Formats: sequence, C-alpha cells, structure tokens
Amino acid sequence: MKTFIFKGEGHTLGNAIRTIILKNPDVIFCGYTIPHPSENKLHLRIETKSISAIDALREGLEQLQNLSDHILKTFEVVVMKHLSYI
Amino acid sequence: MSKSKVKYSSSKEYIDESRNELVLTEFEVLNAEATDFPGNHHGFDDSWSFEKFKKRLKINIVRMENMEIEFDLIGVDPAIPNAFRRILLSDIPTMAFDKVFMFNNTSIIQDEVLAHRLGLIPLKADPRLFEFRAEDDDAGTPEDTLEFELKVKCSWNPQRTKDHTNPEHLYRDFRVLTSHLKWMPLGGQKDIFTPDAVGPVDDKILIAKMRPGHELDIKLHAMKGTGREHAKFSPVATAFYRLLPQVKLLKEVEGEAAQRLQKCFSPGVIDLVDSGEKKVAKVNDARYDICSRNVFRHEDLKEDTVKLTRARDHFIFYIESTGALAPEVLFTEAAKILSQKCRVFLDELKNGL
Repeated sequence: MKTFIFKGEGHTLGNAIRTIILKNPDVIFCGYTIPHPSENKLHLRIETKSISAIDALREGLEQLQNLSDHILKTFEVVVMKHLSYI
Repeated sequence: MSKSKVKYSSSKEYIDESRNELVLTEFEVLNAEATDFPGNHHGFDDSWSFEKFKKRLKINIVRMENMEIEFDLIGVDPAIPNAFRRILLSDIPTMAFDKVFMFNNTSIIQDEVLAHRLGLIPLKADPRLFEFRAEDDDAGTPEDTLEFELKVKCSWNPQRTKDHTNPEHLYRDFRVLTSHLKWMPLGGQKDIFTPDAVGPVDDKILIAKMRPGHELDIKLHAMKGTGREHAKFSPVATAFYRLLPQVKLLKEVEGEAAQRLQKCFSPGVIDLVDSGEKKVAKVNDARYDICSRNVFRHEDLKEDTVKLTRARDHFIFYIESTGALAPEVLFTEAAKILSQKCRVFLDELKNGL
C-alpha cells in the first residue's frame, strides 16, 4: 500500500493511470486526488493483494504506454488508408 | 408525471446493458459510472490484456479536412479519450506572440489590450521545429524565437472628396490586419523557412482600427508554449468527443404519432416509411442525434415506445485545429505525449524513487 506523488501532473494522467491500474486483479484499491488546485501535484494511492504497489504502478504505466503507442500506430494506418482513398 | 422505468427480463440482461450502454430516461442517465473492473461482475474477466485491447480497438475516420477531423474511437475506456482531449487542449505546444515591444502606439487601443490581441493570433509556424525559450533569456535565439515587425501609419487619402463619409475612401491603412505583420528572419532562419510557413494562419484578421495620425511601431517575439501556460498556445479551437447515440423503437408508431416522433429527434434520425395506407416510423441513423429526450414530453410516446441509449465505448472524436498543425497530426502528437508521460515516470521508477 503506497501513495505516490506525481509532480507536474493532473487529471490527464491521473484518471487514465487509475483506470488501468484498477484493471489489475491484484489491486484492491486505486484512486487519485489533486489535493490543492493551485499545487501542481497528483496523489495516486494503490493498495494491493499479492504484488507490491510499485510493481502495480510500473505495470500500469507500461500498459498505458503500450495502449497509447498502439492507438498511435492504428490511427496512423487509418489516416494513410483514408488519404489513399481520395 | 410518471417516472418511466426501464424493464429487464433477467439480471443478465441488466448487467450486460449496464456494461455496454448508457440509458437515457426521462429524468436521469443510467449506468453513467464505469463498472468494468475485476471483481465487480461475476463471470466477466475485466482484467487488463493488451491482446484483448488490440482486438477491441477500432478507429474509423469519418471526415478529414484541412482544419477539422471527425473520427470514431471504439473500444477504449472513457479515461483514454479524455486524456487525449486534455492533452490536445493544454499539452501540445504551438508558437504564439509572447513578447511585444511597443515603440510607438498612438492608436486608441491601449498597449496591454493590443499586446493581448496580438498574442491570440494563430501562427502557421510548426512548433516541432522550435525549442522552448529559457526563462531567463530575454533576447531569444533563432532556435526558439520568430521575430515580426508591425509598422503601420494611418493617413488621409489624398484623392478624397469632401462629400464622402466612407472610411474606405477617406483614409489609407486605417485597418491594421495580420497581413501588415512582417517576418524578420533571425540568424539562418530565412534558409529554413518561408514567410508563408511561419506567418499568421489568416492574413485578414483585424488587429486594430486607426484614424489619420495614428501609428503603430511594434516588434514581436513569437515563442513556443503550451495551453497550460496560456490559452493562446492551445493548438485547437475545440477538441471534444461524445458517445454514439442509439435509438431503438420498441413498437410500431404510425400516422400522426409517427410524425410527432420524427420531430422529437434531429433531422435524419427517424424516417417515415410507407406501410400500406399509413406512414410508419423507422430509425434511419441515430449518429447525429443530439439526444434531446424531447420524446419524453409526449405522454403516448414515452412509455415502452422508444429506448434511447449511448454506446459506452464508442467515442466520436472531433478536433478543430487553429491552423498550426493539421488535425490528424495533432492527434498523433497527443498520443506521443501520453506515451512520453508514461516513459518519464517509468524511467524514474527504474532509477529508484
């Protein structure tokens, strides 16, 4: 169980990473908060069953990175196809 | 008024629906919260799998123009399109006027107001070719700055006639437009860029109005920045998404009621088809429905006639660019930025907290 503080991040990464970490069956709880609107800080809390919270965070970040890269690749292919139809 | 209830034949039907659809009822929206996490629903495997995601993800481009794109993003959690939207609004950098050196301004528009107006002019310069300027650097370098000059003087038209009142006829240069901005290349910039590639997106944007004797003499520095710092740096006019609307007719509606039903939806959603003597309502295409729920105003149509839902994982994404980058490029940039955010923190984890 751990709370990570991300400096310079907000809801953009917070909600995305929370959603993906919650998809991990070893995670009991994951939630985020921005404690104060004028402080550029994101608190991400992870509670886990069998793995460590750091591993859950690492997995989550890797999954989100893969997801984002895959969306980028798919989108570029679709754009190329769309352009070649015209 | 009776509250319309949604009826289900089995709990499985209810669970399936709550996982896949948002239900629009007369007074509330059901299933707004995402519940597809492991342990929430018995018999469903909601754990994350990249292979499963690859199969589910679909992207279709519906419309792609110079400044606008509309595409479908299917098979993702709401947090993902929302992250892209937020990145588009505030994390993708563009160039904008950030330092304004006012040598002379005798027009009636105040210095600070004019400086603000100038800042909001969208520039065509590709931000990927520039660096962010260091905070303590006031002069700027060719790598991080574009310099422009705005020198305009309003004068009387020497050929004017006395009886005229039209300013077009009376004055010269009384309208200051973006076409008056002159690019002053720094260092080797003139070998890399053309004036057309770095200048304003449109050359007919009105900056100020003047009268004879008024004069502007301004030097401007365009710098790279993000929408997080100031909205003038945002590369999009808007970027938004909505869920795909779905309209289901649960029973046959005909005649006058069918016409009323058609009027409850956006044009093109409901068609009236001939069936013998009467016209019968049929769903044509619900995609562009605005989901007004007007149909619930009619007592005879609101009970067991139509079901309005939205697909949970079908996002219709719209991006309107301001002109610096093409809308499809903006989306690829957003995906790169999200990926990069993850990489930064993964590296941090690797190097020890």
